[in-house]
Amino acid sequence: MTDAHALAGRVVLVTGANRGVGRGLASAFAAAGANVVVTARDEVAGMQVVDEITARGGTACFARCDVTVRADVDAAVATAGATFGGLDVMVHNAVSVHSSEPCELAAAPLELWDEHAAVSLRGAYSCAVAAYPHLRDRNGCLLLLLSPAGINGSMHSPFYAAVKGAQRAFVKSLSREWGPEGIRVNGLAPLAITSALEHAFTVNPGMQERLTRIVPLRRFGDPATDIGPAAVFLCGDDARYVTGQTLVVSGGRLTSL
Amino acid sequence: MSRPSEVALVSDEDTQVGGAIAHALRAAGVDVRTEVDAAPDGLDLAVYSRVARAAFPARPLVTVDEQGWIDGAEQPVRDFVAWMKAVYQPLARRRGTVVLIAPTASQEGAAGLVPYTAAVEGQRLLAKSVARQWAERGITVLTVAPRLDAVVDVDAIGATDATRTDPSLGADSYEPDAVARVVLMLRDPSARVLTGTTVPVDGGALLAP
Repeated sequence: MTDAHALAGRVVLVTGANRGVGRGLASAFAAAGANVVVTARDEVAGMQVVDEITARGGTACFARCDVTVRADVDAAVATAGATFGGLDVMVHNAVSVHSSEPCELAAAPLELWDEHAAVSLRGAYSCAVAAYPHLRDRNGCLLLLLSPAGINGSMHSPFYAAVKGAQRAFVKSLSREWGPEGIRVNGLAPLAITSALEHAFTVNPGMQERLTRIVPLRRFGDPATDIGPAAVFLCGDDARYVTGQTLVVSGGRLTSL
Repeated sequence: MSRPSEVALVSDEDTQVGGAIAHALRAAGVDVRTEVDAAPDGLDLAVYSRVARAAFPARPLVTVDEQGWIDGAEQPVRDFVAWMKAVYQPLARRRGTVVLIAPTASQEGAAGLVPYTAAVEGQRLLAKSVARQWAERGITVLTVAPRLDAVVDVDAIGATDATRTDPSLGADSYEPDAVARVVLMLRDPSARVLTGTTVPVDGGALLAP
C-alpha cells in the first residue's frame, strides 16, 4: 500500500499517462499525495485518468503532450507551474506505439528506428531540459521508465531494447551532471501487465501461463499497485541518496543487473 | 596465421581504434575491405568502429540544442542500424562475426557526455538484441569495450569524468593496439560461444559485472 503522504504537496508530471504503466504510475503518485499532471496525446483517455484520480480524492490535471514535439513538452511543464506552482518530479514513460511489435532487423525500415528514437530518446531529452529549471530550484528528480530489454537485449524488439539501453546511459550520465545541483536521476525497469499484453493473452491461449512461468512471483506486475509504489519510493525522500540507478521491478524475472 | 581467404570489413579506418584493427588484421593476412559493396562473396568479420564525433565536445545536457541531441545521440544509432542491415547478407554467407566498438563510458555514465553515452549504449543494446536474433543464422555478434581514451583524445573533448576509474594495468593494456589484439582473438570460430557479450579492454578498470 502506498504511503498517502510520501509525496504530499509535490508536483509530478507523467508522460504517456493515459494507459498501461503510465496510468498506473499517475494513480500511485496521486495516492501518495502528489499533484499529478497527466500528459498524453489522447485527451479523452488522459481526462479519464484525471477523473479516476479525482474520484478517489486525489489531485490531477491534464496537459495534451506529444513528447516528440518540444513545444508540447514545454507547454506541459508550464501547465504544472500554472496549475500547481512548479514541478518536483518529471517522469518520462511514453514509448512508441510500435514498441510491442516484433521487429526483424534485417527487414526493418529505418523509419521505424526514427519513431522509437523520437518518442523515447528525444522525449527524454526534451523532458529533462524542459523540467531542469524547476528540478534545480526544488531539489527535484527525473525518472525514466526503462525495461529489462534495455539491460539484456531483446530478440524480438531490437529497437525497443536499443532505446531503453540508451535511456539507461542517459540516466547514469545525467545523474553525474545534475547530482551537484541536488537533482536525482533514476530509472525504473518494470515487468508489467499492459493493455497490449492483456490483448495478446486473450488471443493467444496459453501465452499467459507460458510467460508467467518464468517469473518467480508467477505474475506480471500491476502498474498501479506493484510498479507505482516503486516509482513513489524512487521519487520520494526515502530515496534521497539514490541517483544514477536502475531499479528492476520484475517479480524476480531479471536478476542479472 | 590467417584462415584461407578470410575477408573482413572495418567501418572507419580513420579512427584510432579502427585504424589499429585494420592494420592488425592485414598483418595477420586478412583481406580487409572498407565498403560492404566490396565484399560480394561475403564477410567473415565486420567491425564497427565509427566514433560519434557530433557528440563532442563534452558539454552539459542543458546546453545541447535539439539538433545537437539528434546528431549526437540518435543519428549514431541510426547509422549503426543501417550498417548492420547492410552487413547482414554478407555475414550470413560466411556465418561471420560482428564486432561493435563501444567504450565503457556508456556502461558507467559520464558527465558532459549524455548524448554520446546514450548513443553508444543504444548501439550496444542493439548488438545484444541482434546477437539473439541472428544466432540461429550462424552470425556471432560481440561488443568490445575500450576505455574512452583509446577512442578519442579525452583531454581534447572538454570537461568529462569519463575516465575517472583507474585501470589496474598500465596504459599499454588499453591502447588501440590492445583493442586490436582482442578483436583478432575474437575472430576465432571458438569465440562463437561468446555471442552477445561485451568484452572490456580497459586495463582492468570497470571490472563489471
